[in-house]
Amino acid sequence: MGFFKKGREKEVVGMIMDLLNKVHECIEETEKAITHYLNENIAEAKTCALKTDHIETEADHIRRSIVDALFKGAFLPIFRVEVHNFVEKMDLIANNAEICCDFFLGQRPMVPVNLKERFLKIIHDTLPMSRFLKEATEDFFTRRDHEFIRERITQIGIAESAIDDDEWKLTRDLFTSADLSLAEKMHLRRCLERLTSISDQIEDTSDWLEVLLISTKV
Amino acid sequence: MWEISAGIFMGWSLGSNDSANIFGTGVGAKVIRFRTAVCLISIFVIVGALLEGEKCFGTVGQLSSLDYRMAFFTMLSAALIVTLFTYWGMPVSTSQAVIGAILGASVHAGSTVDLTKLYKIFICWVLTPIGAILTSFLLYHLLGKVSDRYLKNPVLRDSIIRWALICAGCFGAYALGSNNVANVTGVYVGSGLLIPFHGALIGGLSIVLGVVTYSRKVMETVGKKIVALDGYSAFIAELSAAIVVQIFTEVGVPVSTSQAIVGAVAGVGLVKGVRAVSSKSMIEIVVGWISTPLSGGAVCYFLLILFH
Repeated sequence: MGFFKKGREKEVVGMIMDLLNKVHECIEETEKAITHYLNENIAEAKTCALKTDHIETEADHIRRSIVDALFKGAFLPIFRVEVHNFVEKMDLIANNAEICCDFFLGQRPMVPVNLKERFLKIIHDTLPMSRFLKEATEDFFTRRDHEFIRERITQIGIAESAIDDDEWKLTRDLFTSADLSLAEKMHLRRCLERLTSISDQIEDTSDWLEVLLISTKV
Repeated sequence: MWEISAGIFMGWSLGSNDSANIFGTGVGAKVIRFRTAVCLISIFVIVGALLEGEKCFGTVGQLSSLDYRMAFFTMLSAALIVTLFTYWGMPVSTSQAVIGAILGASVHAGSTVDLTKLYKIFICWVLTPIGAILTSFLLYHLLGKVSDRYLKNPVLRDSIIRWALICAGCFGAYALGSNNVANVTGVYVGSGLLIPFHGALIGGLSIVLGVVTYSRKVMETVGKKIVALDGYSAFIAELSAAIVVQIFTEVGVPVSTSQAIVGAVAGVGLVKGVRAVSSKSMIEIVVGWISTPLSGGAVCYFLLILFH
């Protein structure tokens, strides 16, 4: 009898943790790829982008395994749907990281030297957000300490706001620059959007974690 | 003994319909498999009927004095009403159909009706959904505090709620057996055709027959209708309905398990500040207090005019 099999939920939680690790690795590799790219070390950047691609594929496999386990009846129905949404959102973080690498190495945007540090800062600041999400999710599936999880979610929100602020200022500086053509400005703007899509998705996922937190509270 | 065939028909109808009130949520939510649900319901309905079924026989059997033949027509008309109403998709209570049919038979025979018992029955019918609303409202708060404090881990919480849903379902099946078996064989016990033990056994087995042969469709439909409840809410609703039905078993009055579960779901909705049950369902319950016994009584009266 399926009901008496206790391990299914534990198996799902284990896979969610694996997925989180893969997502974090994905962002780490993306950061390295973009750093190498902006330092004009294209060969290294390619290697890192390829790694990101492999890790994203592995994350996809894990996501599919989680969905299979959920379809087999892991967790009660409403919570099951929420876990599924959460997992899908988490997977989108890795997808966005992969797309970001593809953008840089496929379209080779010409980032002006004076703006490179500011582009790098955005991806550097994204990495701690992924760590916060990992810690909050781990806590949710083990001891569900509301205070701790909400504190981590708040930190993600603060970091995302800071990145948004940087993005806004960088966009303004790009478009007010006299040294760039409109095509370059538009291309760099698109590049910036790709970079910030990762932090946006991390925040979106942390919002879903909050939904999970609320749904398990009576 | 052929007279009890109508009672078996009634038991079959009751089992096929009311089992959905017990494990509909669990089966719809895939918390429990249909076969497992059927096995558990069958066991606990029989246990409930045998251990406590006799408590409601007095109310149904002694409401009016009926002979064997009239008992047959009473049960036949009640079973027909339940089957027809179910076929038409209208909510129906077996308890109300049976009591209505007994009254119809009494009117036809010109026999006296124990009005004290009748008032008691009607008050219990009204109190069933109200009691279920209050019980689920209180239990939700009370057990919610325990759950929030001690069940931090979502995996453990999920697992415990699953078990709790099963246990509440078993209790619900027990309450169904103990309370509703009188609807199946109460008039035969009252007429002297069956002794209480045989009445409980035959009634319980005929309910199980309905559960085993024809409950799947209803259970899956009901399950899908109320599956929007989260696991904890579904558990509270199931438990509250079972508690209320069992309380009325102790009082000795058969009540509607369907109205108990609707009331319990409404109570959960009240806690959450949402309307978990439509106004239509609540109006149908109130209308059912009058329309079902009237229909049962009218059908029984005309059947007796035609065939008795």
